[in-house]
Amino acid sequence: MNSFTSALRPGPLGCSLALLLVVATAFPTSAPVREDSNTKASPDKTLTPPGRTIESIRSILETIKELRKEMCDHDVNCMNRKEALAEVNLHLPRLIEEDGCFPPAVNNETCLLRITSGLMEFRMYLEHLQAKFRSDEENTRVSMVLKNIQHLIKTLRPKVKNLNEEATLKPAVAVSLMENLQQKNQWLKTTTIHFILRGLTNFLEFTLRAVDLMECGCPCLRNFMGSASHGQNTPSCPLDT
Amino acid sequence: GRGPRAPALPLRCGAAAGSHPLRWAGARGCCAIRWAFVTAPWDRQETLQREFLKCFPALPAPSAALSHVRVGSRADTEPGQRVPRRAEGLAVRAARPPPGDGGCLRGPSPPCPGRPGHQPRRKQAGRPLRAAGRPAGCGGRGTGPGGLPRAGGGEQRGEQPTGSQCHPDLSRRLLLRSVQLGDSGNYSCYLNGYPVGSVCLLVDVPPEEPRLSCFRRSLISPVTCEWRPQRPPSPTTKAVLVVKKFLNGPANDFQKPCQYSHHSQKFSCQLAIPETDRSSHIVSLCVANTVGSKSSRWEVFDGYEILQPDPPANITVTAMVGKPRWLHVTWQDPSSWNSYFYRLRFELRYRAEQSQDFTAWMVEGRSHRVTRLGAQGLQHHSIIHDAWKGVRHVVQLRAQEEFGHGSWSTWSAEVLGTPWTEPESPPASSPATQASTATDGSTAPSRGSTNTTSLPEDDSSPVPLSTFLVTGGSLAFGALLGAGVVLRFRKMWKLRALKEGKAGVHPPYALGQLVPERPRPITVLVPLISPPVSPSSLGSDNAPGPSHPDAGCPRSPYDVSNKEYFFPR
Repeated sequence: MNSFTSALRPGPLGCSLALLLVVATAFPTSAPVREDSNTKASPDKTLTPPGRTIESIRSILETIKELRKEMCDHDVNCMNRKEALAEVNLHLPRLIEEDGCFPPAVNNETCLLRITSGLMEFRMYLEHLQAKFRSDEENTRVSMVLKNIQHLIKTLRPKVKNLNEEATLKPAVAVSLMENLQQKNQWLKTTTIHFILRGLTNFLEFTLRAVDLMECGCPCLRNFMGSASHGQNTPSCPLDT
Repeated sequence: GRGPRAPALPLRCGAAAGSHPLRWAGARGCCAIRWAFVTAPWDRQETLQREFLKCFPALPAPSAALSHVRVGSRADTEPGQRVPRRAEGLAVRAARPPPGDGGCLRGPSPPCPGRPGHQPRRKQAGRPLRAAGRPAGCGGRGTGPGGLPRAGGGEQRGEQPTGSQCHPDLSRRLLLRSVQLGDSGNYSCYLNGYPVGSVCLLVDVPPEEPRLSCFRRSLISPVTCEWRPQRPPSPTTKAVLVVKKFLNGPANDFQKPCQYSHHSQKFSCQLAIPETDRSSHIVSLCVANTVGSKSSRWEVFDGYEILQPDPPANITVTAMVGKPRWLHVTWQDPSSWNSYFYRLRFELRYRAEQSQDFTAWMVEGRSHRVTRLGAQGLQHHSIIHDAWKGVRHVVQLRAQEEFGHGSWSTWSAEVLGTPWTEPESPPASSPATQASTATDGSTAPSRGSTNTTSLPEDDSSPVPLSTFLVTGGSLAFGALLGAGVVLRFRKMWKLRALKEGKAGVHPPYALGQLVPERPRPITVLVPLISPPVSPSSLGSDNAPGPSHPDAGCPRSPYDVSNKEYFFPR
């Protein structure tokens, strides 16, 4: 479906990957760029370093939410009116079951590859969105999102072994995107921005879930697998050595 | 109901639109099929006990056939006329198979697209019924015994079904004195021992119009659509969920079978949606049986919007020793959530039992790393810091997917809890006091909880009151004494007083304990354990985000409160 979903490379994984993830998230990362006024300080002052990645993603999600609220003049119906977005013909990255991010078929390496590739693709989209908003405040917010996405990629990227190529938009996609954004048709421009931000939100939500799962490691995964709802009969933990 | 429409199916026996009280398929110029379709209210079956069309072979033509169709209250119904009556009722439909086809095809009316598992069934002729009629009719000569074999549904007991016969007086008519669902079948007419025709009789209850309700309890659970008919459906009634799925293009149509549960008395269908699928779905429930079909209104949803979890489970509200204004609340994900990958967020609200106004706050479900792997699922907890002392509180919780997808669950059942109450002074500690503390700690034993909580205060007030009356009296006496001393030596200390104005307070500090100027001796009793912890400050600092997962250790009575008490200073 997407370019980044084609490089599936499942391989044997061990808990070392989970450890790697934990270590990588524990890197002294700079705190995500926070908003001045609206972002609430996290109430949990005892965050473990891995939890910082989660909080970083939460912060990005909150910023996007605020941005979309401003675009919609705080009209909830506007934000959720996906029918209006149906005409936007862009294929944004999205995580699917085969990406190894969903229990019980979790594959850390594949999942992280998908996540980082997808985020890099979204970064391209966001770069096109810069300075496309109607107010300085909104433009500031999208810049903030872009910075935090880059920061998140750097945080997650050390965990991936096979990420050789830089994700770039395909020329056709870039052309289509630019057409949408440069249209005199303000409607299409707005819906395109909404479409991208909504897709990014969806992607980040799954990223947060997957990162949290991977940070939890094998015990969590066993617990997932123990759930009868996933329909698996005591499979082995793929994170086990 | 759907209006009459030309059957799209080939005109075979049994394939008639159910909404017609009478339908003579032969009018379409097709094969010689004869239909009679009669309905009557469910509670007035006697209307169907009367004369019913039989002996089809005598019918010369569709137009003339009407004279033979005298069926109870529907006798005056004309072909093509719609049934005006309510949906609930008993319907009888009869058809004459085409010549040479002695069988009877039986099936539901066609408006339902794709009737699941209900193929027309060919019924074989069964044992003969006693029948009689005029020579011109099926009955042959006068009293000459003809035959009207009946087949199909119903018991085959080797004798004539109760109340069914070709009555000679009515000629060419069959009396069914008590029409039952099992009376469906194939009735044949014999003349002089030879079959001259047969008729297919269908008896069924037209389905009610379904009212569909769909829900999804977790993102890894299917969407369940249900309908509970007002009356148990007839055995032939089937249901199917018609689904249109929109995903970046034209709708993808498919169907899901629905099962009827006699236990829950519901039709239930399950629609599996991949957890990443946010496409729109439009569904409708179609129910059909041999005499009709009905469809529900369309329901539109997407896989996320329809999500509504069950309320949190296993809620406990316990007192915390040493914290007379705190309540420790724990709860678990509802069992139907069944996922650690997807999380819930919660809203907790509470109020004093006598109060109407709730205080509420949000609790994120992903902030409890320590307890995430509880054997019984995710365990969550939060601490109420500003409860009323000694007052029983009502606590409720509700849940929503952590990113706000779907709607909130309903509020959980109310759970009661009372903050820890300071034990009485050692001599006064009665068993009742102990019991009250224990009761406060338990989750929701409502029995007499109010009384037990209020009892200590009532009991305690007399004892300490007398004590304090004595103490207060002596203290007042001491204060007066001190005042007298001060007055007496005021002149002598006049010069020093200016010099040691503040320092002078300190020396009498020990005395100050004896001379509390506060008029409330009870509060003097609990200065350390019940830090006045300025409720306002606590409320403002902690109430919005009180979900410190590790802040409230119920076994450490002093640390946090005292810190908070002294720290601001």
